[in-house]
Formats: sequence, C-alpha cells, structure tokens
Amino acid sequence: MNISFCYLKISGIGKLNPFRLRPLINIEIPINSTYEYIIQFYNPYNYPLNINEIYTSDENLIIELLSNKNPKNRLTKISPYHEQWYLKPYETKSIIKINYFAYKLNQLYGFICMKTNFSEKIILPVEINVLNRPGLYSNVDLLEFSTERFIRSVTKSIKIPVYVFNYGLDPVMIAVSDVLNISIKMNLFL
Amino acid sequence: MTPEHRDYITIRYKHLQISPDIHRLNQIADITIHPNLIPDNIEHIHGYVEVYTSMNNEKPILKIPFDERILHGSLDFKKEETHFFISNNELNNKQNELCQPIRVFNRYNTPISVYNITINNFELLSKYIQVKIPSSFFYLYPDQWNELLCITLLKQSLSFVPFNNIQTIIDVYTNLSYFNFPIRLYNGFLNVRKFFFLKEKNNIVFYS
Repeated sequence: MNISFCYLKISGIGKLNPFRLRPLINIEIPINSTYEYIIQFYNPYNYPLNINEIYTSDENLIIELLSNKNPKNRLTKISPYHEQWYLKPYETKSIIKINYFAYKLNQLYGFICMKTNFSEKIILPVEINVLNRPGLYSNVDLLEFSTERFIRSVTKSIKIPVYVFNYGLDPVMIAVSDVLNISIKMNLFL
Repeated sequence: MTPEHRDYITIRYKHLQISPDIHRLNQIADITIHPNLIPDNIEHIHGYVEVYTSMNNEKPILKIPFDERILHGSLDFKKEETHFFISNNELNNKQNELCQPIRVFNRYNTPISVYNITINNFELLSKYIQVKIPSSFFYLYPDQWNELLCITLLKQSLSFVPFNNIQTIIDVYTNLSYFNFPIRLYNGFLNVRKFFFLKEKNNIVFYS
C-alpha cells in the first residue's frame, strides 16, 4: 500500500459568533489551581430564546449555575434555573460558570455544548494546558473590557484591573523604573 | 505602548512584591480605555499586556492578551423634539393638538434593531402629555431617521398649577445596546425686561 501526502493551501475568514461567544483556548494554568470563566450568552434573534441543555466533554470541566451551587458536567433545563436560561430578544446574560481544577499535568482538549429550543447545537472549544512551571500567571486568559464583545465609541471610559498570582517559591518584584525600562507594557497591533 | 495609542489607553502601574501564593490574586495595574478618543479608522484593537520582573527586563514573564472591536457611531435625536412647552393658554392648546414626533437617527455603519421603548416615571408626564408608540419594533438602517414616539399635549384646565421643569428618560432597547434620551416638559419662558443704557465716561451702564 502506498501512502503519500498532499499539502493543500487553505484560507478562510473568521466570522463573529452570532451568540458573541469566544473559544476558551490557549489557557495556561499551574497545577493545583482552578480556571474559572463566566459564559455570557447573547440572543441574536428578535424573539426569545431558551437554552435547554448544557454539557461538557470532560468530567472535570464543571458547569456551575450562578444562582445556586450544584456543580455538574451536564445540566438540563428544569424549573430552578428556568429564568437563568431564558433570554429576551437581543439580551446578553451570564448563564453559567465553567470551572476546571488542574489536579494533574496534562493538556485538556474539550468542549462545552449548548442546546437551544431552536435545535441549535453550539460548540465552544476548550483548551487548557496545565503546567508545573514556576512564575507569574494571570487569572484570565483574555482581558475583556466589555461583556458585549465590542466597545461603543460613545461610551464612558472603561477601567479594568490586571491581576496575577505567583506560582513559585520566591517572591517576584514588579517595579516601575523609568520610561525606557518599564516593568509592564502594552503592545497593540492594529 | 506606542505613542499614538497613549491617547486612548492608559495604564496605572502598582509597585509591589508578589509573594508565592497560588490562591492570592495581586492587582498589578489598572488599564483604562477611553472609547471616545479612539480615531474613527480604528475598528479593532488587540495586543498583549506584557509583565516584566525586576530580575529580567528583556523578556516578558507573562503576556495577557486583549481583543476588542470598536463600534463607531451613535443613535442621535434632535434636542428640540424632546422639549415640550405646557400651557393653559387657549391659543397654545389648539396648536398642540397635533402629534409631535420624536425621531432617532442611526449614525452607526450597521443596521439597528429597536425592540422595546419605555419611559421612566411616566406617571410624572401623564397629566400633561399622551404618548403614542407607532411601533416598538423596527429596523433602523445606517443614515436613516425613524419615529420613536409621538407626543400629543393634553389640554390643561384654567385651574392649571404651574410646575417646575419635569424631566425623565426614554429607554430604547436595541440589538447593539440600550440608549436613553431625555424628555423634558416646561411651562415658563424667561422674560426680558426693557432696559436702556448710557455711556458714562468709558463705561456702559444699564438701567431698567
């Protein structure tokens, strides 16, 4: 049997998710820490939308309701969270919190699946890399200035904090020295 | 941060030592974005906040990404269409029987879908005006005007008691966000008394 490879060039254009969801990828966390993310869901329709079911691909990728503590990796719609999963036209709402405890060194390739009452199946990829590397880590994988996934130019100034934690044995000094040698800087690509 | 971006993104750093503790979050900076200062040609900003330590100032120890779309534009209205003079004068009452529209204009480059319109504290206004909402659901294309509400002034009795200005808010819910517009009722005009002036030496003095 002959096996050969053929390389094809492909290209594509990324399209904004109509539900304003983003993939949870390129996440790096140290072992024994927890990754948490609150999923904001946008209803792009001019009529109400219901989310009927949410489940994850991994038993350690836990779904938490924001109203009560009942962590599971599969939730279907029943009366206690009927309100939480009902979205009025064009409404953006926090629907669940995702929680992953890094109890062993590995790379998680998983997904979160959401089913709506219109038989839509929305798959959100999740990629978490659990490391044993000492150093500073951020508590977020992406700094978000807005829950809407865009900023209106006429809105007031938006201020967000930047947090880090130290996974190491020694204290780390962050110092602002002079203009040419600052310890935190921001790179922008337009 | 390159100089051209310093106008619309600012960072306030904190000078601190971060102790080893996996459960303790340490705030190292505040980042502020000033959307009204972002030039119209910039519709997407993305990049990293890079964190350096005092031990190694050449390579970042941590890179935290950000990625935002900027939506330029506004939902505009004519201020004079939202101010209403309330009077018990017979002549004014006749003129005010017509429905006066409050319109909005889409200055975004994307269509807007309006799906709900509410008026805060409508009970404050209900003695003086009647509000008709032609349609609480409509599409507004870029550079297009559309009628939001139509206001008819109610006839006031002769025992009408003058009031101070009444102002409340119209909330307009759209697919982009919600917007609010003020609506104001007033029943007084400023009076200008006749006066004359004399030129005394190099000064002008007014007399009423």
